[in-house]
Amino acid sequence: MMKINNLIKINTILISIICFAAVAEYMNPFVLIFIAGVIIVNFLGIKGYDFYLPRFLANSLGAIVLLAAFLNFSIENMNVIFINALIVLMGLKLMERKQYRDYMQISLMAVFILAGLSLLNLSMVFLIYLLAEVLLIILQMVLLTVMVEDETFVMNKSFFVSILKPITLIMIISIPAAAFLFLILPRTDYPMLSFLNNRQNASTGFTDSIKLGTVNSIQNNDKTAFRVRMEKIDDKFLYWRGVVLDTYRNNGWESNYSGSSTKHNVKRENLNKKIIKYRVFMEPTANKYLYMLNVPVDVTYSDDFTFSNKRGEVVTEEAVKSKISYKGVSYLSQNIKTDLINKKIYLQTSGVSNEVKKIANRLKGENRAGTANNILDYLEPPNFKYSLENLPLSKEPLKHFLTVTKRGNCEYFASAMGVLLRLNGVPARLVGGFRGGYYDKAAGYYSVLYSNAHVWVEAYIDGAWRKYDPTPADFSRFSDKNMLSSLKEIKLFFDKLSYYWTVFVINYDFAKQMEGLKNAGEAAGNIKFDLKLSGKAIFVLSVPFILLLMFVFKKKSAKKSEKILKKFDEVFLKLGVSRTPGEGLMQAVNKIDNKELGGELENLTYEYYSAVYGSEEFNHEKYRMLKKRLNEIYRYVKNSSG
Amino acid sequence: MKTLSFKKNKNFKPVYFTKAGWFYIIVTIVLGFAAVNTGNNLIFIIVSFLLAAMAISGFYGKKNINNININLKMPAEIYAESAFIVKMKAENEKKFLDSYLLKMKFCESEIFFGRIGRQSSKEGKTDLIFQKRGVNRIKEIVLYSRFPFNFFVRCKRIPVNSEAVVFPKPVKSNESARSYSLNETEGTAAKDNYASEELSSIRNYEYGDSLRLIHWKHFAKSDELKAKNFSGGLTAPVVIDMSGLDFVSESEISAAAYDIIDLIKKDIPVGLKTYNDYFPPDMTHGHKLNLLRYLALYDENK
Repeated sequence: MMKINNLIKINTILISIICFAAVAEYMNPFVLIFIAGVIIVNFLGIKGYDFYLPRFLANSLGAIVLLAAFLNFSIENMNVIFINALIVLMGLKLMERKQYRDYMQISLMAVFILAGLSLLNLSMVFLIYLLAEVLLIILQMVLLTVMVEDETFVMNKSFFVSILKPITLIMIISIPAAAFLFLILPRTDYPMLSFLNNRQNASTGFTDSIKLGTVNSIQNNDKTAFRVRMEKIDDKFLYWRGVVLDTYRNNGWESNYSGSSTKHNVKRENLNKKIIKYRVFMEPTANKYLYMLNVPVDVTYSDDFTFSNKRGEVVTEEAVKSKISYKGVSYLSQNIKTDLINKKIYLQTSGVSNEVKKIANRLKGENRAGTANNILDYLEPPNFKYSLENLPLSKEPLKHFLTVTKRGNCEYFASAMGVLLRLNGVPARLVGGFRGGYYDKAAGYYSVLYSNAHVWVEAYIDGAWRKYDPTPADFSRFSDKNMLSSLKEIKLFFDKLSYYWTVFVINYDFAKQMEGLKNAGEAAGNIKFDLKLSGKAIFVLSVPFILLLMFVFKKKSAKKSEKILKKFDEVFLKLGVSRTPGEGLMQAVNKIDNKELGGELENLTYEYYSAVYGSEEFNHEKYRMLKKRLNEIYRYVKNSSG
Repeated sequence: MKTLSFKKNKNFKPVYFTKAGWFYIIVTIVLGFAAVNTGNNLIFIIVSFLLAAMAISGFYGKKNINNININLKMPAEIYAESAFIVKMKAENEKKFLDSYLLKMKFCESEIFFGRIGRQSSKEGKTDLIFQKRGVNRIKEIVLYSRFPFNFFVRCKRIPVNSEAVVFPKPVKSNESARSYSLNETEGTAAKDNYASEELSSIRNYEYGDSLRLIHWKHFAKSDELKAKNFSGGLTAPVVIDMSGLDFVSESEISAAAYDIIDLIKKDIPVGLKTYNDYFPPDMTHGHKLNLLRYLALYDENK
């Protein structure tokens, strides 16, 4: 037994907690403390310790909060500011003495805060919060409706349990209904307020430079960097290019390229290799590189970008700050055939110690390729070891790595090879990107994690940039799921959900809507002429159809008795007897002069009455029998009179 | 014939939006606008849910008030201008769905049912006042429900065709054009009976009691007026004679109704005589109802 008011209070707290939990990471610390206090006060309210803010005070505080929000306004963080303002307003509302109107406003604010969250974060967790809120708000609205009807209503357990049924039903129906509406709601190709979208925190740093001797934690990060929908290919080709690092400076590598006008001029002679088409769904990175499978040929992306096929690099105009997707075309190769325009850049070294130069001299081969192979051999185990820990952190990390520790991650190996090649006069550059990826057969996509981040070397030999990967790591660990810990496997499962979420929900747009409509239209067209449906599909499709038939049939059976009556009337009419409305069949039968037919009709009338009103059942057989015999009489009368 | 028609009959709307409902629609439109113009699919999801909830609540609200059967039970004695209790039995004939928050309105009264389970019924009651004597009909009951979300109120007219004969309002009146007469034959019979009756109790004398009932001995002793109650005996029967009146006014009818009730309460047989009809004196309950019903329908009989 509980008063309806208390039940609503409890549910209000639940709605608020879920809403605040969803946006907790964007909350200002002061706002967080305030909200915690508000929730405690509301809990006490249920216990009977009433503490309310007078309405005028709450309203004026709300006005101040809005003013403060406007004063702090800036394009960069306006979403966060307004979400915080909304949260404070909701908190103030929670502090007031609440009536129907106020409870509705609180639910509404929760919805608005979730809408605001969607501008900050597109992750799938949103859906969980949303579903929880939908359930609670549906419950809240039903409870409020009860309150409107009877403010003193006392909810006992059985009433509550019973009212949960329609609520569950509404919830269950609303999910597919909402899904359907989601697909068909009108969309536009040119949203006017798209600037509101965005600004997610680029969660992890894929950096566009390499700085040896500092800690780089990227390879311990299990988050997904991007996903690629494509066919499965040989592991050895799974190199995802990001940035090309051409400048060695201060123990690190940087990119000195800011885009050129060479757009989309693919050299056709390269295209005799295997061509792969794919679509990349990229998480926000906050830098400007799009990841492309080695070697990229073409890219289609909705925003401005520059594609340099000589560098194999795609640079966007704006940093990637939200989830994006783009199409790519690559051919599977280890070489990029191109001319070398600015050789000097690729030979430049600075601040390299003498020890390193000595090592370089030792490794000089007969030709450029020989040198490269010598360096690769030199960097192999057991001489050098791959390690993510105890990396050489010193002022001269490269020297330290080559002479003392001889262990390091891909950055060290690639840097060392790059520098050693350049010291031997071989033009060389580093490519930062990703290696490997975990393929999901069912969904048909590669998931590439931040821990797949990798750096390798390209040396310009015989008119092409040739790929060398000096890092002596076991690369199966970058693509073989069996090597994963069970925790990572679970993560990959969620990654799959997240992939579907990204592909089907986040990236659903006007174009896909049109495509879907076209497909639906075609499918509808195909069903008519081409029944190539599997048994299962037929079964599934036929269930509603059968239900519909049953429904129609049921309606019909109710009208069968009327049909028989009509048949009687037709026969009477043929015999020159009319039955007025309200007159019984027997009365009409008695008017018939022909004794024989009259007797027969009397029998039928009796049968009809006993079936419709009497103990017998008016079933299909009865209906058919009556219909048949009435038809016979009808025909007999017709023939004899004609 | 008087029928009570429902106020809202003429502009009856099967559904109308509440303030909350309009507000909800506006919010949905605003968010829909935001969704289209940001192209943000998560806002599209929110809008989808808002629309779905609206649609389903509409559908569910309609189902909620469907297949409700109503029976009204009127009491046997209803007097004009005085409140009586009417009982209502509401039955939910739906196979699968319970009905919630049903409000039945009729004649400015209403009965609220929190829940009626599927294929079950509930009883409720309310006070009702009929202003006029005669046949009063309740043709229909209007069923309202805000369920499930209070976005709109769904209404439905349910025919009940409940009929009640409302007795005239009993009004005590001393100035009257009607006359009282003792029926000759019955009078003598009463006299005989009077001798054999026994004193059963003494009660306080009330204004209007016959002087014959005063317990004079008790009065002599205590100065208190007490009336004697007799058992088994009959007092002299009275016939209310309205046959001599040219015009029977409402107040005459009310006064006659009062006398009938009053006399029978005092165990005095009462009869009624009008221009057309004559009811010999009697004091049974059925007789009383007959007389009152006759008075209730008086003009109509003429």
